[in-house]
Amino acid sequence: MPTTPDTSPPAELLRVERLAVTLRGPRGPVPILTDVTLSASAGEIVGIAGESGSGKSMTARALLGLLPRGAEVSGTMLFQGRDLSTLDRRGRQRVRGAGIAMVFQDPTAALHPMLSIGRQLTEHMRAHLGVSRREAAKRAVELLDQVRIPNAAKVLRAYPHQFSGGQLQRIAIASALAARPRLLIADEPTTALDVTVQAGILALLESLRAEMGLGVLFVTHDLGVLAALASRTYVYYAGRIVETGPTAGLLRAPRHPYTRALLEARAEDGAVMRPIAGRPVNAAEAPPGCPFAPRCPDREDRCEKSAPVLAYDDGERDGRRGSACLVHGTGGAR
Amino acid sequence: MSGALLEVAEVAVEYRDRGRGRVRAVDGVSLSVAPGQIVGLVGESGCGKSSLARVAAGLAAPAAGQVRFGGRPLTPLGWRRRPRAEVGLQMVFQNPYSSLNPRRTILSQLLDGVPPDLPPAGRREHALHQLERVGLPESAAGRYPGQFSGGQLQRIAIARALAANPKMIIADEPVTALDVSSQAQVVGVLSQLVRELGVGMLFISHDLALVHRLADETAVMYLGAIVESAPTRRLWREPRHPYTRALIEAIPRAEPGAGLPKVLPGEVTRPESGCRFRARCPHAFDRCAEEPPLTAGPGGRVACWLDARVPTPERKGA
Repeated sequence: MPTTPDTSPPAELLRVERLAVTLRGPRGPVPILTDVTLSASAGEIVGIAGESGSGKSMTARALLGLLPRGAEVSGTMLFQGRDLSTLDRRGRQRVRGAGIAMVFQDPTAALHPMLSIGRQLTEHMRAHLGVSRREAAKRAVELLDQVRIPNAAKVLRAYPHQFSGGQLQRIAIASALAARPRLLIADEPTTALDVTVQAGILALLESLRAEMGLGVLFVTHDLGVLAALASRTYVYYAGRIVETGPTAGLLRAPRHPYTRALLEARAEDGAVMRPIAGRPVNAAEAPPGCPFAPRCPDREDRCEKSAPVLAYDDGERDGRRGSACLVHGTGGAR
Repeated sequence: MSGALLEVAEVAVEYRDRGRGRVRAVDGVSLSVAPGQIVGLVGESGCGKSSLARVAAGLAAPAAGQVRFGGRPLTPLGWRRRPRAEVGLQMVFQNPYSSLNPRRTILSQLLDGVPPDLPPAGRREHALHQLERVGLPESAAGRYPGQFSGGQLQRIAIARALAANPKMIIADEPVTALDVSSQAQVVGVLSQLVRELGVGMLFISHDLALVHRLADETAVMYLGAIVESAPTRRLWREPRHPYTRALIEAIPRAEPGAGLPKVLPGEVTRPESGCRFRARCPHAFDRCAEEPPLTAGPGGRVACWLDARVPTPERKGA
């Protein structure tokens, strides 16, 4: 069936409030995420930017119930109004696939090397949608068309090793879309790809958003990718959100010194690559006070004493600028 | 070219592939690097840049052509049996987690690189001095790789290469595995070393934006051949080859309202004849059925019939 375009106003798909995750460590609980609040709607691409250890991938794992054993989760994760953290295993399985689907950095991780592409696409559908073999095969062809893979009939008989990285990522996206999810979590889906191939995947995600009203949570270390793709962005550091807002505004006038530093560290046309002093820390290593303070050029004495909270403009959260910085925090520009 | 430290001349690299017979990964590539110069080699996966790096470093023998280091042909004998003179050619790899041994201290791995003719008394000091050069404290020497971040490890790998007092460094995707903020640190260390020590560097990367920041000269590779090479600024400002232009246009820019990067249609497959880029080229025309030669002009070299300097193909009789 061709997808019918959704004409109703964008519905909120995901609402995460004060999410905190700790893992069990040999010397007591290890914090991974602290006070994460975010949302995503249908037909919207939302960016999560951060370096390794920032907790950006852990957010994705928490949403899908894929956290390591012994993880303690607090806060709420509502998907279409249902609380994900209270679901049992079967309930979560139903949400995965038909509600929230995921694509990873390495498409080969999502595809079995010994099974044909056709079998992998159809099995997924039969499990989640309960359709007949024939219907599934028909839909598999549609899916490949949707991700712009030509010669669908031939591709269904082929195996993963016969494709390039970019084609495999498209097939992995097709597989993620098989059960008609509303929200796609894409965790660094283009990081391992060449820029020209990346451009194709970004265009594909944008067209899926526009045509199917798919909501996308796009996790990346590259603010450049989000500039092109995401309407709103959350910047992570040390397991928390340090800045958020509409992507264009955030890039034009970054408020948090970390966002600014990330932008200046990029190899961008006409600018000097300015390294950030020190190295990124994760939530467990974060010092008391502001986690970025030890590396921050604008640090004041108070930054090492009290931890800033994410403060939003006008007291409103959704779509507003917000920054967790005592020096550049609320209102105004830099 | 005289004065060149590393000269790669008409190098070809071939692999045997069960299905397809011989595959030419590198097809007649020439480039040279002078002391104190950074040459960037850019291309996407499968373009042959890493195969070329291995040959340029003497880790593999070319199927055709020659590599000269300091005026003498390189002997691909295996790393340990290299003649003394070739120890001056060092390589830095993409993944510092695998190029350093996790069970040995940093100091003992740095000592591996120290030239054997240095007196025992000075060896330790020489090794420690390299850490300082890459901006790490001496206290790092007694620790193990697991205690460092990726960016720090890559700087340690660079320090180990420096311990051999190299004249030339070949860096194959040295920052690809690193976070944005560590990338800038490593790039800073590399460029500073070239300026201070006057070593030559071949910097290989898939990231044109990065090469733009670092290299004096940039060569763009596509399907085993250089399609354009020029002083970096010129190449970036006015790319002459359509593939170079496509690469630049595909780079996402962190600017508000940048819009989606331009998509280059098609897949990387070599047409049976003619220009290797013609199946994907928006400007392809009749003449592209014949392969354009890489032609040198005042602003660099380019292999495209659209460029005025590329001579009209001779009617083939020979």
